[in-house]
Amino acid sequence: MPKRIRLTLDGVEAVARLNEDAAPETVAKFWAALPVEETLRHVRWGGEAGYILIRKLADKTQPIENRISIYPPASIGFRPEHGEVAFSYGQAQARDHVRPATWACHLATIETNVDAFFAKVRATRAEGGKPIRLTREEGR
Amino acid sequence: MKKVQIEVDGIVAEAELLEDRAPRTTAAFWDALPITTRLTHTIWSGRACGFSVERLQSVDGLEHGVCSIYPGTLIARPDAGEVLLSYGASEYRTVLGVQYGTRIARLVRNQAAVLAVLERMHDEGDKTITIKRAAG
Amino acid sequence: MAERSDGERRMKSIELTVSGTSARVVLWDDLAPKTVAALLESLPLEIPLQHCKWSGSACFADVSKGAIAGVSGLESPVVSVYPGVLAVRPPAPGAPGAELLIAYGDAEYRWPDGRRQVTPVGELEPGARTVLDALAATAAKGRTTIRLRAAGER
Repeated sequence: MPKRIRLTLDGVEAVARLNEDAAPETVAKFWAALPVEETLRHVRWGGEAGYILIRKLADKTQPIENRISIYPPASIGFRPEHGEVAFSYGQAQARDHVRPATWACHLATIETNVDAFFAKVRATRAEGGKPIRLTREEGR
Repeated sequence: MKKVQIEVDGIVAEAELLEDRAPRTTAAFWDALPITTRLTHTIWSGRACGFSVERLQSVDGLEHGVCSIYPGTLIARPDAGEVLLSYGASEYRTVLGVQYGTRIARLVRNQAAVLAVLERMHDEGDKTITIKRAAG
Repeated sequence: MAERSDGERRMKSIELTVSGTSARVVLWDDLAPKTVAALLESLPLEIPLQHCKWSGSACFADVSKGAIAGVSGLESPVVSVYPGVLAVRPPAPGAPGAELLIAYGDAEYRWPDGRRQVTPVGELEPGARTVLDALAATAAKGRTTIRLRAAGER
């Protein structure tokens, strides 16, 4: 049974499936870090996505499993060097100031309430940061 | 040297136009003033915020090209009718990657205060920007 | 970029001389504190200056000996070097040594394999036309000498 997480973003709930088979170590560390409460803000370099930083997961030495550079829509990407979790609603890529394109781990895919969840992510550009909570979806 | 007044969230700064470096683009920008419009944080170019100036689309091409946007610098992309103002690390980019724009102005007064407002937009979202020709 | 005309901050500056022409360079220690500190520590400097091959309207000098070569990492990295801007390329893996760049026109820091980044450390004061012309002249006249020395605080 694949691991799943529940995301609550400014009152909107969604469930995402973790890519445990393709990224076992990353998913294990991420799972251990939950629950997480942060402010989700729009990305500044990576395009149509929002992001949070989970500082306790930041690890410059962690290899990137299940590598992607372009974030598929409805995906959750993870960059271990910053502990950055990105939620892509459209055209988006792992980028920063120094690197116009780089790698991230394709950590999860949102499966439920996709449109409503990502409407909230998109809205952070115009409206500013929004609270998000990530919890384990256990026993459902 | 022509100067403009830039106001965001009640903070007023002054910028000088780089007419010698970009005579056509700065002229089009000057002609478009005054403007009051939405200021939006960029999603590709880092620590910068942008606004539309449709009059710039009358300018054909870039008079010179830069991709790095130093803090306090305004750059224009005439074909997009867009101006970006940087408050920190910033490079003009789109979905296609690194692009180039023309520098049209630089802040010369009250830079720190207005850039602090732009930095807050990452948390607070869109604001309104008003740009007028400065007196004298 | 350090504010120039509010009078709110005291800004460090240095004096730059190229081919008998001089101007002040206002330093951006808010953007690049470590690199500016290393630059000041390395003064006075009198070193060869020659035109860039890949980076456009700019000149460069080797500063591999001295404090600048001890700077680790870029600060406020940029690719475009605006006219009148002084920039530093510190040592990096695969890129030993250190360089000082100064642009007199459109310039972008590049190597044969493409665009790279530098740390912007300051800019020439307004009206430094003769210095910019002296820099431009190196394209035709060849190598010259650049002298940098402390100029106190403004």
